[in-house]
Amino acid sequence: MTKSLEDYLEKIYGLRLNLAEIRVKDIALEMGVSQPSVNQAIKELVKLEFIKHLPYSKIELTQKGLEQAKMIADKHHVLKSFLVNGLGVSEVNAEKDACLIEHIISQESLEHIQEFMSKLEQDDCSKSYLQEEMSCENAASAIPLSRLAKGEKGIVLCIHGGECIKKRLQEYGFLVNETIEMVRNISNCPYLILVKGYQIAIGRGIGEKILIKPVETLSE
Amino acid sequence: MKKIVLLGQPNSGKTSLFNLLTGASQEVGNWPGVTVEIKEGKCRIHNETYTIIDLPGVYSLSPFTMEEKVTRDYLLEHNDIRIINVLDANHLERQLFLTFQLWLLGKPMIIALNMMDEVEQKGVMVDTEKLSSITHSPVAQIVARTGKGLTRLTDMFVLDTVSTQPNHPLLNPEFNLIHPLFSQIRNRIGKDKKDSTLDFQAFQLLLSPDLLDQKQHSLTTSEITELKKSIVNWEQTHHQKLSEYLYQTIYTWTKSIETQITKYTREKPIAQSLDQKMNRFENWILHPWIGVVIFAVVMFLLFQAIYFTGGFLKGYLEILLSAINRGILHLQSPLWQSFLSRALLQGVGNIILLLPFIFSSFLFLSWLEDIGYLSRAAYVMDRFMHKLGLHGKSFIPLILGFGCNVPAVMACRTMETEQEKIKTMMMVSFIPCSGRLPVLLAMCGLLFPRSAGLWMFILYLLGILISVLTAFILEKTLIHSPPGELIMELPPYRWPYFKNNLKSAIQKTKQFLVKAGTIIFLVSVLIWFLSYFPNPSDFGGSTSALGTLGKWVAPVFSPLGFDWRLTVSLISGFVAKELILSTVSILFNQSAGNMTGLFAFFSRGTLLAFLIFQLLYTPCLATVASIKNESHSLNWALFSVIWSSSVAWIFAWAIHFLV
Ligand SMILES: Nc1nc2c(ncn2[C@@H]2O[C@H](COP(=O)(O)OP(=O)(O)OP(=O)(O)O)[C@@H](O)[C@H]2O)c(=O)[nH]1
Ligand SMILES: [Mg+2]
Repeated sequence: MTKSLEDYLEKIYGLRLNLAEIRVKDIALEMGVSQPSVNQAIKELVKLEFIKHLPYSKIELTQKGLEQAKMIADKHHVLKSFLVNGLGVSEVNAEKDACLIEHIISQESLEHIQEFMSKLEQDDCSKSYLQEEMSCENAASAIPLSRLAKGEKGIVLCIHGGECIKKRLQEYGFLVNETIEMVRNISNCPYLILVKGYQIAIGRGIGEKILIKPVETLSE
Repeated sequence: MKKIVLLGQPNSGKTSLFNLLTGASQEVGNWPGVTVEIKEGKCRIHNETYTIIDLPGVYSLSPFTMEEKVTRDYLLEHNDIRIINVLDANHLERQLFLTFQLWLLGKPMIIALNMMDEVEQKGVMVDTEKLSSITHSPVAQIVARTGKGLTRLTDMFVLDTVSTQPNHPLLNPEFNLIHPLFSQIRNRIGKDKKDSTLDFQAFQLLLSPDLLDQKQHSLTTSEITELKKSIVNWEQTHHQKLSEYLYQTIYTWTKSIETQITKYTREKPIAQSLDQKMNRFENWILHPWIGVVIFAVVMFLLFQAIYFTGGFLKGYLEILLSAINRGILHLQSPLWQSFLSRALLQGVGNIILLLPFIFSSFLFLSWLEDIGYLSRAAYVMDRFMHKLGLHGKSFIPLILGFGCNVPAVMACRTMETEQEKIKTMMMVSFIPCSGRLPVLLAMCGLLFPRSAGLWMFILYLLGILISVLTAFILEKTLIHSPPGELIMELPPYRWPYFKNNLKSAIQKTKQFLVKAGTIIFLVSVLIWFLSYFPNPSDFGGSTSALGTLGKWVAPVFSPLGFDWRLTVSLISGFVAKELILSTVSILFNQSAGNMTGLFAFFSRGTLLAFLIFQLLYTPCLATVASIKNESHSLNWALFSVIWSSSVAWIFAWAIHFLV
């Protein structure tokens, strides 16, 4: 797979967390390229069986594609967090560099970086949410917390992120299968969530790591 | 002596109970994380003296922040203690989560169901008998604010109930999946010692083998690695995370207890609680922009209230002091006359004159802390704090700093990372505390007689601005930290309990009086002494001892237009901020109510520069010391002194130049 195809796959994976359905034009918009070039890439990804092309130019990741995309996203995350937290590179440059490094880095180096980061983060709890731990089994049907509007309820499916942040969230009652209610969801402000009778404010960065299932779809 | 430890989740009312039992007035506030230190007190019940210990609130016993470590370590290091587990009975499901863990410690435990007034108002009944039989611990319903139910609780002190091990719910069938693993670990750590906390340690190891430090258990690193392997094995066999399984099963247990012991007696609550009433305004209070405006208005009203109440009470003190002054003037001995009127009346008296302001600032701050607004302000400010590499939680110490910087610096313990902590401390030291209030009041009254209240507010804003600027510069240079993320509970609104606010304000005012009677008095006497000798006729003049000393240092400040007397005032202000006003009064023979005499010596510009300088320059000695303690670094303490003094110097110089 070429670099640019990997980038496309990663973008589609990223969009999936924020949009209900993904269309060619969303990808073009997000990546700042023309629709025809997106179409070209899509064709190749379909050939590789990473995505399915549905009617109305809707796009969906296959199981194989999902795994591949997760792997890439995971790499990206580890690299970025290494650059930012391990070395102190600025967010913006780390993002760019991680995009470049992720395509060429060897598995061995990556593993060592991962190990290094887990040591670094062990004694520093508030940061370890950056350390993605993509191990949610039922994540395929999950949406991130940000998609719950005010007053809507959701059931926690899984919590991404380091052990440490996970434990903290669990102490506040964010457990798998727990029903939570969004009290406030205004961009740039922390989420306010009702859980076990308490209102908990959580930063948007952490909120992204909590994947949920809206309660309505459950009753269907 | 028997030791009784108060333990519970944050904001459950431990300190309220502590104050009730011991008669102390430790800080109570309606937000999680008020108490950050271990506090001890004594209480006498049925002819027996008990030591009561108040610990920082914790959600569970896995330590994440410094104050949580304090609590956990205390529990593991002390054997001969009994526990009162204080629960907020409104939300038993989450509160009992901690109870589950405390129970594992195998120590005698009493359960105190607190906030029963709120529970009853909601129309809920709690079956204490049942809870008691489930947990094998005595249970009492209390209202820690008012003291209702207290005797029933204290009667339980004499009971000797130890919840015996076999009953612990961890050994119940619902936890059977981990039983083999649990006993394996327990046997390993318990090989060669007898210790009642073994169960607890084993449980902690299961929950978070990574988070424990070596001294908490006796396992070697290789044993830990082995343990982690068994955990991974377990997780693969059961297709779930061990910690997730534990949390879920414990919560199922607590939930089932909650349903068993609570029942609604009425369909509708008797009256709406303040929290329900405030719900309507919550959209505004937490609004990204309106919320900020509301915060500004709240602070402004706070200052107006302090100014108004203080000014009202001050009138009476003025009458008293001038009567004393007239008495002094009848004295024959010039030495005594000078001593009493200068050292005592101008040095200490002028500060006491402003006592009402200090009292009312403590009163209103305590009121604000109690209503539950602080966490909301922190929520609103979160996104701004992100720009400083901080998050909303750092905002709470800043507001506390208006009262006194020392506890505010200590409140920084609730920050999760070292960088956040240091940065917040550096911000706190620019927040004008109540000690700076006397000079601010006197000088604003002098320079802006008609709009003193407004100008004080503006000056406070300036302090805040510099504080923000400091954090911003630090973020860009010395301590760049990736923005941490907020996780914070918003407490319900509660009507402040005025009796407690008053008590706490009186207590703090008393401490202030003690300060006035000791350190301020001593330094005033010293200043007087150095001014009076060797040449009484030239009191505070350039031939006095103080004048000779002061002229050495004065050149540093002469570009700002300050003479040696203002310089000496600033130096004495390092000991305690109130001394700035004392020293100025003594040396220029002024009274705090009316300092217009200063215009004879200085221009408006110089006085304004002086006002700004003293607002911004170095935090007092006590604050610097606590910065050093809390950051474990002399460098940061020195940094705060040097940085703030330099900023102050530059500002004052600019003003002196411009005005
Ligand atoms: N209505 C009601 N309010 C209470 C009661 N007990 C305490 N409060 C209020 O609850 C809030 C928290 O009380 P604290 O005593 O500071 O709680 P704490 O457990 O020491 O909190 P941390 O030190 O943060 O762990 C304060 O606003 C108290 O006034 C009670 O019985 N009834
Ligand atoms: Mg407390």
